[in-house]
Amino acid sequence: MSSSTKFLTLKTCDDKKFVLDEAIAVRSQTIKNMVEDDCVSNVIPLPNVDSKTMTKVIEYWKKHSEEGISKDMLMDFDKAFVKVHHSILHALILAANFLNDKEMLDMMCQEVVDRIKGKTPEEIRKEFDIKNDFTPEEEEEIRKENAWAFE
Amino acid sequence: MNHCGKEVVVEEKEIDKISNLPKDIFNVIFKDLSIRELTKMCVLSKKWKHFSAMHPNLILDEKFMEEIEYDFYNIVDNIILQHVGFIVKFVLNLSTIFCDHRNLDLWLLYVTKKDVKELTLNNYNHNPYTLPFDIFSCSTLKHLDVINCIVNLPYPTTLFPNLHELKLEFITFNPTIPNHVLNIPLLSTLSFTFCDGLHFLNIFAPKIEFLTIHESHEIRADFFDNFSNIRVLCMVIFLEESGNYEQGRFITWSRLLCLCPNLTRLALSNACIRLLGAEIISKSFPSKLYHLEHVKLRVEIGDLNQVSSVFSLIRSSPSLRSLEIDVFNTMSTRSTNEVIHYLANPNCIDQQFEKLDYVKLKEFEGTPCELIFLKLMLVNSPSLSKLIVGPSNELDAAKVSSFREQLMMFLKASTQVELIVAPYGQNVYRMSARRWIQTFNSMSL
Repeated sequence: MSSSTKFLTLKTCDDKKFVLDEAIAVRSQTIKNMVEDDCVSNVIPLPNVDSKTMTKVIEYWKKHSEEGISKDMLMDFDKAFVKVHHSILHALILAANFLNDKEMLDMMCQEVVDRIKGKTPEEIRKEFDIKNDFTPEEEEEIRKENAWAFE
Repeated sequence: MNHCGKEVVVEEKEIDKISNLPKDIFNVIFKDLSIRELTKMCVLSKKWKHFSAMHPNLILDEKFMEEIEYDFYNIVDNIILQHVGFIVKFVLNLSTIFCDHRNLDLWLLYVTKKDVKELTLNNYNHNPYTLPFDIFSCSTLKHLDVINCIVNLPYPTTLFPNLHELKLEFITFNPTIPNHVLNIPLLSTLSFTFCDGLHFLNIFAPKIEFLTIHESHEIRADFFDNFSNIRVLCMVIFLEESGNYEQGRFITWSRLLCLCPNLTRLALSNACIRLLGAEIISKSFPSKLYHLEHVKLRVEIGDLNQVSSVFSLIRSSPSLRSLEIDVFNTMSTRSTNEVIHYLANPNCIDQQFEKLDYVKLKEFEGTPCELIFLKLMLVNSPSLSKLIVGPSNELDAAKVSSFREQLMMFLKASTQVELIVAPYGQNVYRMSARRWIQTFNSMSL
């Protein structure tokens, strides 16, 4: 490793520390701004991200920073990366939003859309564990008001 | 049994989290979802009940209109009038459906009152719709795209303080006062397609970078006066209409190039070249175009005024990298000899086209003018890496291959030039003007 490599220490909300090559960490616009504004002391706190989520984010960043990796390999990686439970998807979206990594945020948002498109409301509820708190009458009323969308 | 106060274990994975995402993330996630999919989500749970009514984008496109044709008016009316909060993007495509103009007035009034930023209205296939004045007082608009409308301008000035992109197609301007001032200080992209009455307008838009004029007439000579920042200019006017211009009413080459010194890309139809050439064409134009890199022209190759204009343009553009010419052979060969004489004169080119690396000649018919043109390009372009010739359908396979051999024999200033003559039958499609503009505008900057 070249001597010019700089490392940053990121601290998640559950007090876990991650040491990461600066060149990789600046995929996050938030971290990049902090580095550029020179307001980075020893440790960068990430109060909105937990360690479990950060591990996933770093896995993504490292893969996308690998030298010589082919487009096909990245596509396969991304495909597998988004196939997670919706609670992890949710955490990753919030993390990507906080870290301001637009590429990652777009990819995770697209995955949510893909899980919704073409599905019935029942299937969407099941996919995301959404509890139907309408009475059957209330639900029927809404369906009637917007009948064109349910044909 | 009373569980009150007792710890209850809820499996983390079974909690509905998606419903609680922040609103701005929701807007990112659902920005491209169709209005049908969005509306279906109202029944998911109480949290989602007003979800589609609060979504900032209302995209009522052609596909949607087809699906709801049977009850079009009520459905659209409900969607628009029940909307809650701001509307960022509003698209209404009426090209396949008849809509009463009074309803449309009401909908547009409602949408413009909600601080809409992007508005697209397609009224193709119907009687022109008179745009309500609400649109012209909607100060939040950043993007406006309207098709087939009449624009009555009641006041001497219209101001769009935030408009960045204005696309007008089949629009008739009908101001009550001549010299109506359209003041659009932030406008960067302006496109007129089949528009009428442009001569009534004085457009003040000092930041325009992209200007497309497609078959829109009555462009006054002073139309370009305030457009000094134009980088990309595409003008396509048909030959028949070019006759409407009296001498001196259209802008000339030297004035245009002097007013637009920052051009990087330029595309012109043959009728435009003819109109611009209503002046004495000097060997090179008075002002040099230091940034011009890409040029695409449809040229009447047997017309001396056009050919000399093209060469003056090339000579005045030291950064030119790519040159595309669609040959337009008119029946008359009256001045062909003049062109041959002009091109064959050793003084025609006394400089090298240092940066030129790509030349394409389409609709090639193998006339002497075309061959001399190609010869001059090859011998004077030391950086040329590709020369593509697309033969016209008039040529048969044998002629094409004989021309290929002829071209191979020409002297080349560049050692690395790849000469491609498309085989017979592969250059069959003469592009429509619209396609021609699209391919030009999609070329990388």
